[in-house]
Formats: sequence, C-alpha cells, structure tokens
Amino acid sequence: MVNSEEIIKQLEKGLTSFNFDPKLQNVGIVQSNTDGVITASGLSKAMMGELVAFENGTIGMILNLDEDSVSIILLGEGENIKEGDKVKATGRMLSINVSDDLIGRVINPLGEPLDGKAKSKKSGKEMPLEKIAAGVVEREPVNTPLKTGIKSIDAMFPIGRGQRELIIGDRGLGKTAIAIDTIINQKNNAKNGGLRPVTCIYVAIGQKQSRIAQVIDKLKETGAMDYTIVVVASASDPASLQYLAPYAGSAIAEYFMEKGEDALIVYDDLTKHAWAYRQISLVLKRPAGREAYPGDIFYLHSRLLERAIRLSKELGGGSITALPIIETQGNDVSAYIPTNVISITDGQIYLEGDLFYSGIRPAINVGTSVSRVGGAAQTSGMKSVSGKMKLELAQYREMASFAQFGSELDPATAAQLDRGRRTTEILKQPQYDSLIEALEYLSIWAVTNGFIDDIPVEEASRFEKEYHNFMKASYPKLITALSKGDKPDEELIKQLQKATSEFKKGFSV
Amino acid sequence: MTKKQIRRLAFASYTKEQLDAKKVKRVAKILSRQDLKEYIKILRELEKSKQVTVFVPRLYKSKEIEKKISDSFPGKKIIFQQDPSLMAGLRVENNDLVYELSLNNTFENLKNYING
Repeated sequence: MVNSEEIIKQLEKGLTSFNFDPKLQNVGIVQSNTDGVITASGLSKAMMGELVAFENGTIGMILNLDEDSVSIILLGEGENIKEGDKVKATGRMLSINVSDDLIGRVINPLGEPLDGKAKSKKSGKEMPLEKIAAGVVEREPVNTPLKTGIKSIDAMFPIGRGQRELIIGDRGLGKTAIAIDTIINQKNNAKNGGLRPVTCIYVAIGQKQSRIAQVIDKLKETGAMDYTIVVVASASDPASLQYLAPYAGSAIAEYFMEKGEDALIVYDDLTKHAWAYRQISLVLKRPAGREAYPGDIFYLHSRLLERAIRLSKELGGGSITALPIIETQGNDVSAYIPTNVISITDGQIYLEGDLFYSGIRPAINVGTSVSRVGGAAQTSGMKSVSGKMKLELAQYREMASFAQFGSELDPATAAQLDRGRRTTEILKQPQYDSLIEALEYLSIWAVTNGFIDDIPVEEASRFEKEYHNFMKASYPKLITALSKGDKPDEELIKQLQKATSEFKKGFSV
Repeated sequence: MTKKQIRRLAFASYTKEQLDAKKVKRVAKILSRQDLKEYIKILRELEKSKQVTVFVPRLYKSKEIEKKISDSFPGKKIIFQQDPSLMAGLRVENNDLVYELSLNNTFENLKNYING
C-alpha cells in the first residue's frame, strides 16, 4: 500500500514540473455539424492535422483550412455539438502512446483499449500518426527473409523484412488467411528459423465486428496474440477512425522498428480505407475525381506504405514489413485503387477464384504474382530448389494450355505435365498449417527431384504429410541442418536421397 | 449571391473604419432574407474583430490597467465585462485569440495535469 507521505511527495514532484505560465488559446465557433464534419469559424492559428477540443470533451482533427473557416473531422461522439459551441485548438498533432504493454491488446486507432482490459498506465512513447517516411540514406536493402510458412510464397514470391507485398483478390479467396498464417508462423521463425522475433500488428479497417472477433480468437488460440497488437476500426466506427487506423498501426510498428526490432503490419484492407477517405473527402466538399475518389488518393496509400522500410545498421537495423490487402471486384486488377497499390508495393500475391474453386488453396496465380525483391529475401537453401520449381511450373502452364487441344503427346511432354500436376498438388496447403523452412525445402526438393513422379496425384498430399513425419522422427539431424538455411552440400543431398528412398519403400499407395 | 460577394459588400459598408448606416441600408434592400442573415453575421464578425473584450472578476476603474491593455491592442475598442468565475486575474479575448491569465484557468490546468 502506498502511504500518504508518498502520495503527497508525488503530488509535489508533479507540481514542480507544472507550468504556471498563462496560456494563449486559439478558439473557434462551430458553424455547422454535417455527417461527422464540423465547420468552425475562427481558429486562425490552427494547423492542418492539428487536434481541437470541443466543449463536451470530444476531440477532432482539422482536415481543411479555408479562408475564414476550418473543417474538422470528429474522433468521437458528435451528436451534442451544436452551432455556436466553442472549439479550442490544442497545438498538438494526432499521436498514439506506444509501449511494449500494447502487445497482446486490441485497441482503436486512438490507442483506447477495446478488449475490456484497463488501459496501460505505463507511459510509453508518443508516436505521431502522420510521419514522413525515412529517406534513402537511412535505409538498407531488403535482405532478410520474413518467412510466411506457406510453401508457394516462400519458394516463389519470398517476402523480405522491410518489403511491401500486396495480397490482392476477390472476396472470400483467402487473402486474410494468408496474412493470418504469416502472423502465426512468426512463432516458428523465432523458435526454429534462427531469425529475430517479429512483432505483428493487424489493422482491421471497415470490417464486420464478427469477422474481427474470429481473427482475434484464432490469434489467441494459436498463441500468436503473445506478439501481436490488433488495431480495430470496424464498419460501425466513424469514417474518420477507419481513415486513421492504418496510420495508427504504422506508428505502432515504427516504435518497434526504432528500437531495432522487426515488425510486420497487415492492413486488412486498403480498399475499405480508400472508401472511408472518399466519404470524408466528399463530405469535406473536396473535388471528386475518378470513381469519386479525391485527387490525393494515391498519396493516401503511398505515404502509408513508404513507411514500411528496413533501417540501416547505424539506426538500429529495425524493419517494418507491410502486407496490405486489396479486395477486387470480379477479378478486376485494373480498377483504380488496385492499380495504385500495385504500383506502390514491391510485389503482389494474386488470388484467383477459378483456382480457389478448383481446390488449389492457397489460390495463388503463379503467373501474375510477383515479388520484386525476389531471391534477396530467400535463404540460399530455398533459393537452390525454388528456381528449378518456378521454371518447371512455368513450362507446365504453357504445356497444359497446348495439351488441351492435342490427344497424342510425346513422352517428354507427358512427363513434364505429370511433374507439373504433382508440383501443383504439393504446393497446396491447408489454412493454419504453416511449415518450417526445412519441411518446405523437403517438399519442394522431393517433387523437383522426381521422388513423387511415381506417386498418383491424388496421393501426393498424403505422401508429403507422411514424408514430413518420417523425416522429423527418423532424421531430426537432417531437419536441423536444413533449418540453418544454407545451401545443402553434396553429402547432405546424398543423405536426403537415402532417407527419401527409405521412406518411399515403406510408403504404400 | 456567394459568400465571397456578401463578404465584399460587408467590407464596403464601412467608411473610415466606421459602419456607414446609409451604405448598410442600401445593401440590406437588395439582399434576400438568406443573404441578409449572412451579411449580418459577417458584420458582427467584423465588429468583433475591432474590439477586445476583457473579462475581470470585479468591475472597477483602473486607468493604469486600461492604458496597459489599450496600448497592447492599438486601434481596438476595449470592453470590460464582469466574470466572477475567474476568481482573480483576467481573460482577454481578441477575436479568436484568448489570453488566459486567471486563477480559475490555473486551477483548471492544474486539475487536468494531476488527473493526467
């Protein structure tokens, strides 16, 4: 129990740092309150993006400075605000108080808890929501893998720490699933991958509350909440909060990056973010452009995603990896927002409905997906097998489209098609079943070296599962060696061949 | 009529920094009811910008204070108003700038500071 002497001492200590100087306040008068946007006269000294306080305690943010009035978006209850009310400029820009205590919490974009627990009393660091991204001198090229635990992504479209990889596709094709699997896999990375742990931030923008609850439950169930922060601005929240949510997430990620740690941020999704910003812009009477989006819609996302970087060693070497999600309508990637975000990011994972409904999950279209960081974000071990597989898959796709027309195929072409079918089958992976890199390597190595060629396509998945179990049980040293990520030497390859042949002898079709 | 045009009319209603009754009558005749409302609002704002309101806890005549304040705001009309809630000190309102020099404000700030 704290004694009374201590309480008084704390008060006295607080008083010594209290500023008794008179305050100059800049005030305004509310003129109108329309759809969550307040127009106020006065406030002649106010800045763009400055926070203002209304008489009822509600906070707002200035988004328009006109000749004789300012437009303010409300960040709370605004029903009681009426014409003639006073509004004060605070001289502060919007920021969020971040500390390590936020890990495992569910918060709104203003940092208020939504998980029913008390707000952390630990005074953290005030991180500004809007911040110009670090310049070129402060950055370092992306060269460390993040590892998603999803075979097809880690092998063909590797994501590096500090990269921005877009996940794009129609609704219900597993975009969020990829992001959640990546978050869950960070536990494996820290344990088995020999990589630095990653703090994850999941930003839910404009989503249904039930869906957000499901995601949080899954993260809790898998233990991923131990290193994850969830920022929520659901569909029922005002557009202003939905607009601020990704910036709040980014500010939190920057806190960890500045400490020299690695952070992963998922923006789910930026389509709804663009909708929220469009709503605000239209209410603010800003000129509408294509699809009624305002003129600065590109800058809205580019300034956000530019904050995903890898800092130089001198600045601690921390990083922010961004996985923005974009929902398309009718597979149309050439719409306004998708093309904008595609051009900003360092690659995209494109999910296709046809693949999804034909049972290929994750439904990644290998042709249109790309990672512009590529091999730099892969371990040399994975690089050594993935190149061959990519080539074989590309050849398979080309052959398969031609083979539809001809009935007679030469043996080489038939073999190539068979290999392609098995590779496609091996790349299938159920949700929440992320793999460590050694097991990913084993699957890809086995299929590209023809060990699955004589196994029926429909048995390939079972083969893979039993093969993994066999290797884990009988050859744990091989798994440990492969986990290092180095390119396997001849001796290791020989051991792998021996072990795989041994497993095949015992595998019954 | 646009807001800008009405604003221009309001500015033109002054002669030597004084509101001209003749000009105001002439303008009022040509304006619709809606525009007239806006015109009055702008005139009020303009009048307010030409004066400084000083809130004090008790109204008393002190030429020294009056001089100090009028020297600080040259060319502006100084109006004194009583506000006992200030307890001590004063509050000066110059258009949208408020100079808080009252005891009440210090207490309020202290309360907010302690409450975090």
